[in-house]
Amino acid sequence: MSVHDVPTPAKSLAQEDESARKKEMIRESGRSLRHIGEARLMAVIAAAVRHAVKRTFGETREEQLVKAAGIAQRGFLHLLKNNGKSVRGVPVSDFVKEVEESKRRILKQREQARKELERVTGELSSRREQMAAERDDFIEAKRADGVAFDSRLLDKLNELFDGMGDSPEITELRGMVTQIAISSVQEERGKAVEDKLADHDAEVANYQRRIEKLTNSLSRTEEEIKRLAQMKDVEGGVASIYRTVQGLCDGEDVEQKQEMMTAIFEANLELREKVVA
Amino acid sequence: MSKKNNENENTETSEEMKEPTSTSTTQSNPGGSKEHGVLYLGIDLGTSRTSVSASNGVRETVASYVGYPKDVVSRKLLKRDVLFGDEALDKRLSLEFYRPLAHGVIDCSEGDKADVKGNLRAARDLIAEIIRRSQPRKDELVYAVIGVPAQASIHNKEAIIKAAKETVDSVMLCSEPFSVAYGLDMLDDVLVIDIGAGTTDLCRMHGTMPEETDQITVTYAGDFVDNELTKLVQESHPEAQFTINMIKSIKEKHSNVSNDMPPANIELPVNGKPTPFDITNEMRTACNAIVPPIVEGLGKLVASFDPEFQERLKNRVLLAGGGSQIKNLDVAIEEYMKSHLGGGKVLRIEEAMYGGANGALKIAHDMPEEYWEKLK
Repeated sequence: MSVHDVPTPAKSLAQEDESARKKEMIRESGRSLRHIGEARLMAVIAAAVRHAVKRTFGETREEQLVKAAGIAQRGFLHLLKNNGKSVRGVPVSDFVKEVEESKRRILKQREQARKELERVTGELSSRREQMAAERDDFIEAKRADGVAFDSRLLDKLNELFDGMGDSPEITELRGMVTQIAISSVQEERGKAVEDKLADHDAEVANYQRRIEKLTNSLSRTEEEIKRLAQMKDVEGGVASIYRTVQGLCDGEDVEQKQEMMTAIFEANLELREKVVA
Repeated sequence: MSKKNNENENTETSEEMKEPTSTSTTQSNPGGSKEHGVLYLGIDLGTSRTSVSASNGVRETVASYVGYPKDVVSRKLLKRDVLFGDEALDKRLSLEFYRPLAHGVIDCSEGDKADVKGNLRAARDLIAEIIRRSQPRKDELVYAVIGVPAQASIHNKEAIIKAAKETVDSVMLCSEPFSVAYGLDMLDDVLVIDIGAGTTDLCRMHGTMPEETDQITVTYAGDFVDNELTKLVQESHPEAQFTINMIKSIKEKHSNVSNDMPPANIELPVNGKPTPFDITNEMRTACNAIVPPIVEGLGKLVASFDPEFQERLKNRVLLAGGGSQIKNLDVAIEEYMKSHLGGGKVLRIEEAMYGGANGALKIAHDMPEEYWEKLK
């Protein structure tokens, strides 16, 4: 689709005919426009404005026609100049400045994210070592405390049962109570260790979530920087009026020109072959 | 050469060409990095000036001079690795200075190997610079047609293609006088005079692509006028001090072939003091010196054409190129044609500087996509 073939809302047949005619005019005029000088272009604009004013308002004074033509010419040059030097309505210099500013801001964000990531990663690493040591110490302390506690508990139970005689029932009861008491105490002690380890795991998971978040943020800023860099490069030039490859259109001498295009192409192809050979 | 024969020879090609295959830009560029437009460039690679006309509305011209800082000191002073155009000319004393297209083609046949290498490098950098000045966007396909002198050798064309390929997606070369005529839609029975600095190309257009026999290249061009003028001024004013570049600037300001030309009053140093000189006669004589050999060349092209169309050919002479800016040259050629060929009508093109580039741009526009693709 060419640059002029922009889809439009539904129109009546007459409107479509008119639109097609205009498009054809623009296309044909555009082909010639590229080859006329500025003075001639200005003269054509002046003539067109005069014609349009006369047709719309009837007989008009010469000075008014001159004034209208002058305004149209200046306006045309102004638009032409601005179009050539603007990107999406913003002057190229401002646009580039804006892109530079965004890039600086994002680079700053990236730097912050990178520093934070380094800090959190370092913190996690040292915290992991610290926590492993804490866990070992805790387990060791619990084990040592448990042994002493179990010993004291056994002593108390022995004291209690010693005064009750040594009948087989009492001996059996003594064994059962001692086993239940010790296993209950050990179970509680194990739970305390597990709780402590769970606290450590939760802390590590929290660190890991922060690291993941910072890594994502960093990769997003990298993407943004890349996009800005491309945008800056892309918008640096002046856009062509053509969106697609053109080629000859129907018109005068089209077959003759096609032959010439083929001849130029074949000569170039032959040249490439000779060069390669 | 018969016009009829040519038409018959090309009929088959013409039929094949009626419906050129059309694929979208995106399809032709699966990488997807250049899918936002097509920029066409028409480039006129000239001895004196290199010009570009682009489909983004940019038109640029640069004097065909390239300079590289001679040493570290000059590089530091100039703050650049390479200078172009008038800037290079102004600072040539601190530069390895090149005029890569000195004789209308890349100067690589004479001198030592270092000179050849330097000229090729300068030509490559000049092409890259003119393309850069056309301000292409990186997301657009760039297709260029470069007008080269008719007599450019394969070695030259290879160097030009290689240089252009570094910055454009596809490139084609075509003869300069042909591109001038094509740009003005004057394809039938036209004689083109393209006066450059190094050479003047004469080309006969008769509805098909001009062949070797349709083109004559002579060295009676801008540089010849400069040398003639230098000789004449030296003869008439031996006390005056000047260089060829000063003469070139003077010529660009005062060149005229009319007997009623305004006086060419200039100032040249004599023992360091600016001194006024009137060089009107020298200027006229030097500028007129190219008229006879050009008309002689035209005569040859007319004489070898179908007699039925000779008169029409003589009355459709197109004067183009930087040298066509010599005032009243069209009238002088017409008068000389009248006395030597029995008549003729010369039409001077509107834009001498961009005539070749505009034509090359039009060729680029009209070239079918499949051809561009095949030459990528």
